[in-house]
Amino acid sequence: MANKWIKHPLENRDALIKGWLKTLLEKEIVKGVVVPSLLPSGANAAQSLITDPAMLENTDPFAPVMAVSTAKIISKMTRLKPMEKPVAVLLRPCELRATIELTKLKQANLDNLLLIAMDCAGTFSVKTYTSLVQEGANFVEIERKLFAGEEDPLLRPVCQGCEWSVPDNCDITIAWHGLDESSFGLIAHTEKGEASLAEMEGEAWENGEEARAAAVEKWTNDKIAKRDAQFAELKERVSGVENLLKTYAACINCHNCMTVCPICFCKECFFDSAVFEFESDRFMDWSSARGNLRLPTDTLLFHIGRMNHMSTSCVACGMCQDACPNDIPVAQIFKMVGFNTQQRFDYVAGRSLDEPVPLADFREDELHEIGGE
Amino acid sequence: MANNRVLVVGSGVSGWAAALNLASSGVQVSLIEQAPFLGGTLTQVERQFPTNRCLMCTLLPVTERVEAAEFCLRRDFYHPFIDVHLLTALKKVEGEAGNFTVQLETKPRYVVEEACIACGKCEAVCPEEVPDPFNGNLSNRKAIYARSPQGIPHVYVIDEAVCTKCGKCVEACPTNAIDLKQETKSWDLNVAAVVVAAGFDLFDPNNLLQYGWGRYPDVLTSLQLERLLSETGPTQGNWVRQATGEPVKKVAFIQCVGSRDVDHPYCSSACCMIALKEAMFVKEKNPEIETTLYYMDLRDFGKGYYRYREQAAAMGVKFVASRVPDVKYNPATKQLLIRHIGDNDAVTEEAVDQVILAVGQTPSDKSGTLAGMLDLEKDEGGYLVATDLNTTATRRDGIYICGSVREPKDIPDAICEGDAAAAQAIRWVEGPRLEEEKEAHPEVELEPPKVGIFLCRCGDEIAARLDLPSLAEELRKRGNVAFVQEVDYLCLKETTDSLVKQIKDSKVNRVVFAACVPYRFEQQFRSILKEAGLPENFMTITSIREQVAWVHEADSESARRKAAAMVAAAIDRVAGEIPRTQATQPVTGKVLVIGGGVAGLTASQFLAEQGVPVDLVEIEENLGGNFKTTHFLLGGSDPQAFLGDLIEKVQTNENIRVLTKTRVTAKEGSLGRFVITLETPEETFKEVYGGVILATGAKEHEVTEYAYGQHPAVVTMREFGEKLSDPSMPAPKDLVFIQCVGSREGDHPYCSRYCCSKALAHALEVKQRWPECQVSVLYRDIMTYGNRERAYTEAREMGIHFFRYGVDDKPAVEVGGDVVTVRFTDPVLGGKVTVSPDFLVLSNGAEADDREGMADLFGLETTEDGFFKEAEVKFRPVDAPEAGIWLCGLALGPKNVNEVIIQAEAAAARALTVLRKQALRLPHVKAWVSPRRCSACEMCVDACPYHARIKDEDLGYVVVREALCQGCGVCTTVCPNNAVKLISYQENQIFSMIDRMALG
Repeated sequence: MANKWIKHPLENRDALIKGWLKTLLEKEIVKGVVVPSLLPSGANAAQSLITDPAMLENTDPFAPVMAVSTAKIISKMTRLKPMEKPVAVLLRPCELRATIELTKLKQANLDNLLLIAMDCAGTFSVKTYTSLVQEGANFVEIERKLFAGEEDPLLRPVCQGCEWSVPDNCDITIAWHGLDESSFGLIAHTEKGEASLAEMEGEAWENGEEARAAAVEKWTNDKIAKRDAQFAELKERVSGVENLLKTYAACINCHNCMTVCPICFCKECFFDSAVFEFESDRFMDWSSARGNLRLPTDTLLFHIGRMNHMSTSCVACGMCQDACPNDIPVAQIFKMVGFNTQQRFDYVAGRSLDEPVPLADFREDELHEIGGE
Repeated sequence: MANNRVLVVGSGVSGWAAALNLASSGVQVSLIEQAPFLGGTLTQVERQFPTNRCLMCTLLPVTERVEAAEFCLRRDFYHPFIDVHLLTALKKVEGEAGNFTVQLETKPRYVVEEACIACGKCEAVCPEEVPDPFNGNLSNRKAIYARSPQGIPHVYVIDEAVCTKCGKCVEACPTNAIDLKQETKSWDLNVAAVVVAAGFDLFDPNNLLQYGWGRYPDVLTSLQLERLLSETGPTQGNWVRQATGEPVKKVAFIQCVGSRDVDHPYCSSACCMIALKEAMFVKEKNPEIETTLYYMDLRDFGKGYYRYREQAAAMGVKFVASRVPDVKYNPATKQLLIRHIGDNDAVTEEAVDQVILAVGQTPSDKSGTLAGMLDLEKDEGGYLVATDLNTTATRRDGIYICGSVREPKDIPDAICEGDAAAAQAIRWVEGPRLEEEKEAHPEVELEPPKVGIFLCRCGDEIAARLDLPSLAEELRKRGNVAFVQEVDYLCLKETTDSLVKQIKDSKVNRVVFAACVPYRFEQQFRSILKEAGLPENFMTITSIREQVAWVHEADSESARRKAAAMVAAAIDRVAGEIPRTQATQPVTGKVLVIGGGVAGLTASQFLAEQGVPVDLVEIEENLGGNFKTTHFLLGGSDPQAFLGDLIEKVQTNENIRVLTKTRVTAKEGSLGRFVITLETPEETFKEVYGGVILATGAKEHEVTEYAYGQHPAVVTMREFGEKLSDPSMPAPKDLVFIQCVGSREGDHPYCSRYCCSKALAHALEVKQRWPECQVSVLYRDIMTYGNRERAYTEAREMGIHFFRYGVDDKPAVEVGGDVVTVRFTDPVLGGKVTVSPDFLVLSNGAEADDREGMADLFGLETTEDGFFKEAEVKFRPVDAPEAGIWLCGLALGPKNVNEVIIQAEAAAARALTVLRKQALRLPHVKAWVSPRRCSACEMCVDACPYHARIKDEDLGYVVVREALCQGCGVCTTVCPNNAVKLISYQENQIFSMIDRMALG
């Protein structure tokens, strides 16, 4: 396994990365690059597939926002047919994990993809990001503060307690942790990654592994502490049917959360299917049983059903919560349920291609407390 | 006269296997059973070693079964080609193979089966009470009784020996089902062959007074303990000291009760494992209970059994290698006193709360009636004798024996023999071998559901406790209900015509039967639908007797509400049914056998004789496998003459193509049509086969201990056999055998099963040839199970010395100059013994050897020891998990050659059930995939235990391989997308049913 560590000055990070991607395109080491680009308004960034090197000027690789999960984009692009020519993709860690999860679920194909993922300090919702841009916020400074451990209440809640924000199951990591504040690092984990880094020789990052491991450990432990605090608070708020009903009371059945979820890969959601179309007398029966029937029906069932289907693969990217028009903490609940479910199977969604998804993996000795001996 | 019928005598596990195999090969079977119920001893035993689970259901016919039989073999057994005759005995056999006339005698049941509704009123009034043998006489039953609550049909029978014919039951019976005037009926049957699977009797411990069984309440048999530990047993699993009712704190298992003694010169083969299992159950109940097994040799020779023993030891079960001569009783403490050889070889006395006697198997044909009638030989133990090399054939053509009637044995061996006997019997069956049943599939339009409801009154059983008229009134208000009809007894045959008429006249297209337990009359109700021209599955049964009338007697309003909800749920379910489709798949009537050892040769020869074209593939240059080096067997058969003959038969059979130096490199397709890539030294090509038999064998364990390789006198078992086969071998003066070399310890925690027999065969040969030679066998447990025990006895009588050693005190071997010295402990005298033998023979066992990667190629799992895993170790011993692939021989685990032969025949017999057919009638489609929904994540492909799902790369979604789908529904649980549909369990049906029940 390749393992190459280099570093560059942090102040040039944007330009260096763009320049490097440009070289990769120009030398036809890759035929395309998927990277956040500035939208015409200038106030936001979204993923583009760039094939013309000149177009890289208009990109913003480190924009702290995820309009659509890149995992979903990769799935769209490769599900029917893998890439024939190499394409580089820039990802946040949760997007990387979602990509790996989708690959295991046969909804994406990693062939010919060069996965470049970055240490992530967290992202803002599209709305927040837009207003921050309009306010003229200094994102480099915000990022620095976040990496230094400062809390920012504007950050998306799942990002605030994200313990998987350091990627290493990719071809190249763009590293923050383990360096002083004047540098950023590049780590190649694969041969493919190492070959592409040849186009961006920098200073060797000596003893990087050790320094980085310590920094990552501290960072992750802080995030876990934050996560646990979030879980404790949330559990209090949503436990029990009454609280659950209260929490989801604002749901309007728009299914936005499902639409934006990178893991929800079904062609047509079960809850949008004919199974949930009923004849009129059924509505009357339901209402007669209690005298009152909340409409539309099955809002809570939808959320519970989605959790049942997807929580083993949830990567806690938080897209669902951004998409909720009524600010239901869907992502946080999903993350807590997903965390507990995955822990039960000794599984972390997107951690490794080699771990089979729990539902497709039969172990004779598991869940005795549920299924008996 | 063309005869397509076989008689199977005995409905225990071996008879079951034989009958099922014959029936699935298209042969008509008459299965007779002397007892009033099916199943033999097995029905009293709930969990099996080494899985500690039941899993008997895995033996069920996997295609064309109705839901009635899908439940549990212990309860019911149904196959359209099998006629079951209970209370029936064989009386006379005349004629010859292909055309026997058998005389049968059926004793009266005194209860008309079709009329009995199992209400239990007869039992309640019966004044006669006797101990119930089903529960080891630990509980009582009446003279009129049903065997067990699980039995289906739950039909009563009168015990002739107890009944006084007082007539009270006749008066109590609401359906006039009791007929005390029934008489014994004698009848004849014409059959092509007879399979005798008459089973065994449990040894009666009354014959061994020293153990105090019957006198001391806490001396129990292993079967009694089994019943006491069972939730369905006489005390619902509440197991206590019989004398005091206090908890048991200390229990002793005494092995070999009625086995391995002068009167019973055989080992009962299964009791050691049964004791281990029960000891584990005891430990499961309470780990604090002191549990000790007193044994002579712990015979853990089967697949996975040694690991099972280690598992028991890890749970705290203690083992003492000592025979217990007797059991005494201490009236003061009400405890039992046993003596055994303890540490330091001193006799130790032990007080225990309970003693469990491992009662063995005894021949069922003690009187020799059966042997006399069939003109078969019996051995000194009283077992029927098969021909050479212990196959199932007897000295009479057309009569085959299997299971414990010929030697005590455990379930998987009994099943293999049942299968093997079935295949032998098929030789004599004539006529059209398989009538493809033509089933008309009514094309029912998907018109709106129109439901007819029959409410069974069940005499007063339902009607008296449930307000049926008002229930009917309520149900009539439901939208799609066409009629609601009360019927006195839905189950009685005479009502059938009127039901059919009503369904037809009212033009309903769905039917609900509100009656008793759904599985009892499903068959019958399905045929009503069929007669009425509707698809069989357009009906459903809901149990308003067991689930309503019988449990809500006092509260008629809630009973009515519950019944209404249940019927409403049933209406919704049946309204959501869609027509089932069924297809056929052509079968390529050719088989591939992989492996040219005894197993592969036997299977090939067997199938070729039945007219099946066989390709036999062997990787080596020559046929014969490991057996080429075997020169001596217990029982005196000449192995090389046998093998030479077998190879000759295979090579000259025109149905067999032998491909040596050939590899199998790819497999595609499935049951009925496998496309296999073969690579010979000359060419690579593809062939199509209906099925595949894997007989890839094992390899000899490579010895690394006991100074092997340092001196020519230290030899392996194989090397010694080859020396001994040389007539000019000089007379040895002193020989030492060491057993379990590379077996039952370390990396090889399994018994290699054949080494003890082989060592004994060699030792006996030496002793016969050179009586002066000193022979010592250093062993851990001698594995002479079944009739092999006689060879062990003979060996000791001939003066062969046996010394037990432990893994912590293994024999020490030194090579000094030209002398090999063996030093070991004499456990009887205590001291160390030193011998310098002419040969030190190391009994090295077998090791798994899948060097060609067949497990991966054929989707097999392997055991922790590397041997192939069968579909189920106990009940489906030769089936691979994927249908159409069968396994036999040492690739499954080490075994003796006669067992290899039986297993190969069993695999061949299982293969015949497919290969005899022109086409497979696929089971009704059970699961299907909605292409619109399927995202092709393939989770269902990984999750399906039957390999029944595969992604169609052209279509881009997952499809169901109908021949393999068993309808288990795992796919529906893993599919997040609801793309998987399970017939009769579709989500709209389930949701509606939940709704109806919840809204109730």
